[in-house]
Amino acid sequence: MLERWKIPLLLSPALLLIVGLFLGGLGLGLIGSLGYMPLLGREEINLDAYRNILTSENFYLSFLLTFYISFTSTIIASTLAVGAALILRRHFIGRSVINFLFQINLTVPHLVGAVGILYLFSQSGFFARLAYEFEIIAKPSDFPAMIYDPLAIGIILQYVWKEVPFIGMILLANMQTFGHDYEAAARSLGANRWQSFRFVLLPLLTPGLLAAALIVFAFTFGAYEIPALLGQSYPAALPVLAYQSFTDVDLNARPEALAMGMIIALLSAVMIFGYARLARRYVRS
Amino acid sequence: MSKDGIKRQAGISRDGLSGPTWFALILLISWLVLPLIPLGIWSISRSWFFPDIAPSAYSLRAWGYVFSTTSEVLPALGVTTLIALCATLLSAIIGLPAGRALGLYQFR
Repeated sequence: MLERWKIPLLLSPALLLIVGLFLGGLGLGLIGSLGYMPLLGREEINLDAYRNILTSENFYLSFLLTFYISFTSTIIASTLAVGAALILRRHFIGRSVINFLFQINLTVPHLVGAVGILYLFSQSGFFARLAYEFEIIAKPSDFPAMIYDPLAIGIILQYVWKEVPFIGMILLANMQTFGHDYEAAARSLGANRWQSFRFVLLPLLTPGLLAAALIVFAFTFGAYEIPALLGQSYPAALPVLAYQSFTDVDLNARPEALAMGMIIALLSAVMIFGYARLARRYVRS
Repeated sequence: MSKDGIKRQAGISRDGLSGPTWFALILLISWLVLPLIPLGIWSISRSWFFPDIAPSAYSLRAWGYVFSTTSEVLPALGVTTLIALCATLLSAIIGLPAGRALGLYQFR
């Protein structure tokens, strides 16, 4: 009897918080996106905001850009993190120093990293100055645009910079729990280094790697500050587009902003769900 | 032949890294630290215009401003720390029971 009540009791604070703050906010956003705003004297409910968004070209361009940024950053960061973790788990001189340097940017806020990327890669940044010094370029505008550019290179660089240590630390923790025994067994049975990585270690790491990659993807898909600081203004990333409508002086744009927020949430949920299904199938086979 | 064999063994074993691996590691670590360096240099520079690799004039004015009473950075730091402490504490209080329930008990 006691046991029966224990679990709901232990779960209730967290559930209350999630339902109250998260679902509550989502629900208010949904109501607002339908045009119901009594404070502005708008009490009818309609789908105008959704219709406006889904018929505008801007929205689709922004979606493609956001997806491209998240997808590319996640793939590059995951690959580099696997490589880094493979090296960092070995024993070598200066390992503790290297480990410290590897983790140092985990404590640095995204915005600070973005400013650092700006100073390095902008057309008057450090690398442009180096190129000028070596007479590769004659003026700042000769340097390839990597900030405010259509390919969003600066944004992707920032995300990769920030997320490699994050994924790498998760993988390292994973590797520590497996130990070297499985690989040693594979090696003693005649597998070469590549085979013992590909067929033994990588399958062991896959669940952790997929989970970490999912967190990175979901975060970068919904993050506002980096595309706002390093991205071009047209097409803007989806969260930036939503924020622009939300702070528009025309309060009639607000339902559209909220509708865009709803669509971002829905798209994220759909992508995460599809990804989880794919991942489960892959891990099982 | 045998000497080469020993060298290759050393490269494969878990102790020590081969040359290319060191190179890759140093490259990665430099990339992770690099964006923080201009921030530090900018904080002590007074003027640093385009073609200059290093600032043309240095000054501690920015740091003086941070620690002066007019900037209110120090009180802000206090508020931030307070918020962080409260958030951590509340998360632990709310998250710990939920973690116990999810991790220690089997239920449908």
